[in-house]
Amino acid sequence: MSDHLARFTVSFLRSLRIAVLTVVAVILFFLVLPNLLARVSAQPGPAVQLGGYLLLVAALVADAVLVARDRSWGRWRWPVLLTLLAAYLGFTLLLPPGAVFTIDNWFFSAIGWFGVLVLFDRPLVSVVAFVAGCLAVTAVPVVLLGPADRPALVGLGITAVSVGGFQVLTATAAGALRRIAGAAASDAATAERARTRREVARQVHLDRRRRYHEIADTARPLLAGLADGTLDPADETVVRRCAIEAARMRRLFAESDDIGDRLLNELRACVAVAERRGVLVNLIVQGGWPELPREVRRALTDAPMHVLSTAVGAARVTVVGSTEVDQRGNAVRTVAVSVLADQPGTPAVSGVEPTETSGVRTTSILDGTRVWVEATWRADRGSPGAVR
Amino acid sequence: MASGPRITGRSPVRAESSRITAVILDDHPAIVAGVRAWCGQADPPIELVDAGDQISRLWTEPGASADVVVFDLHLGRQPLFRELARLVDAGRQVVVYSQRADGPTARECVRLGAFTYLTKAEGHQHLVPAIQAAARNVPYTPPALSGAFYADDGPDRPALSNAERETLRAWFESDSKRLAAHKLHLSVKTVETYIERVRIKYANAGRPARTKAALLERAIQDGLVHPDELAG
Repeated sequence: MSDHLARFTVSFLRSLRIAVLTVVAVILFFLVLPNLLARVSAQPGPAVQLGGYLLLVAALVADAVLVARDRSWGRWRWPVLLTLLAAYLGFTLLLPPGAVFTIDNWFFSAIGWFGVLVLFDRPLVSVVAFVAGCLAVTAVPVVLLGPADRPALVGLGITAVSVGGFQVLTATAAGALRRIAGAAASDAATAERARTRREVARQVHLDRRRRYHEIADTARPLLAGLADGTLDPADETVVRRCAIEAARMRRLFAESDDIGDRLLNELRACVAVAERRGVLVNLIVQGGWPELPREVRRALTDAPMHVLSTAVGAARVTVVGSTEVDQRGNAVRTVAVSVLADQPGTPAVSGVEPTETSGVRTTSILDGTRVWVEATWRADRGSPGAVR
Repeated sequence: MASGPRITGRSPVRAESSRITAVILDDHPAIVAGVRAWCGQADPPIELVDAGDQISRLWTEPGASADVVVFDLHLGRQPLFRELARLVDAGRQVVVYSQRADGPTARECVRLGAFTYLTKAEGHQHLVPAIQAAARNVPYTPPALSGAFYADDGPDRPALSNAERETLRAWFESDSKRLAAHKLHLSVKTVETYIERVRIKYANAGRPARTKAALLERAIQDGLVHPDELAG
């Protein structure tokens, strides 16, 4: 995702949350508070009335703090909502019979809103469930104290539809906006990825075309010479040139699988240089690896490429990525770059002390006129790449 | 190997002195010519009884009774996995010979029951030994296949010991069992044993096929693995 859009999505969702918070604050202070003050001394008495109200104000303030810090309620949301529901249940049971469906029950017009607030980042169905829970609590006195009269039931219906409906509607609108913002962000991310892929593919394509031309420049005279008889296929140098051209072509044909891998691109560049000096290089790749930090790539390629740059005759270059399981059962990514090459004038001593840089261990073995260098990176050696 | 696959087709173990016959499926005349030349120079020579780019060549005489099938997996647009499975089901010893070195393809061929997987870049050194090994049912794991086994991080990969993994990697990197042994401070014999054990584990994890049965039988006879190790 582009940074711009990511920032926009985050700030948009935050604004939406502030809007819902403002709606609830207005309802609590300008709709519920006057109702409460008008009947503060009625049953169940000022202490319970004000206590209930302060509990709601505390929940509102907590939400405001979370919004300011850009945090979600997380695992606290259900305990908080259950506490509010329990308080509301106590309140309705303390109300005089018949008052539950009247304006005396100011608590009812407020509590559902806290579902909208606290469940802001949850699916709509959880808000609906909470509002339904509030309605069920409201109906508890009816069950306990026997059926209410007709006007009371009608009152309940009207209150349920008007208050609950408004709350669910707000939650629906907020949810829809949240989904749209999410979809926009993911669309933009997809578009961004596609753009990057296209750009990489374009670069790779250009690079490959260039190398096809280069191969044409070196292979064509060779083929022409073989065809018109000016080059002798039995001649050692001709055989050698053919082998080098074949290896280059094989590599070019095999490349489609690993578009834009930096480690391989760096190795290929070194291989190409060695080939220009007439070294027959066989490059073989197995497995995959994550994108490696530059210092890891450098440590992996340093010693092998040094060998390659002084090689004569033939060289075998391998890159292999794998996942190992360590003693504690964790999966550990490894990448190994190895070069085995003919080198003139190397002493026939075997086994050179291993060295370690940037989490890469390098070992060397000398075998007659051949030298074998292997650099291995392990993700658990505390290198910069280990976090991946 | 509590319920091993049934052995079908011709007898898997042949007399080592008799002449080996092979048939090759490949669409490049230069490849066929090269393979013919290598087979002719082999000791003892391998008789290439037929060659061509038609799969029917493998099913009709003289190709149908060849001991070993050299099989170009990438003859068409798609890898010929189904054809490979059919050959394996008919009890043929198939050496897959492909220009592609990618691990998933190589491992899929082994899983399907191919005797071995060889890249064309390795052909010069490894094709003749691979054909000879196929005719004798001795496991043969060329370096690229060794690298493909090492790089396997699939969820159902066989469990390999650290020593086996290090050996696979050293053999892949050096293309020399002597150098691999030197690097790991092992004997060449031990290096060969580790590589063979891995091949047996992959055969055991693969689908039932004559190759699998033959490789496992031979490995148990040679004491390379204990039958209990292959169970489960």
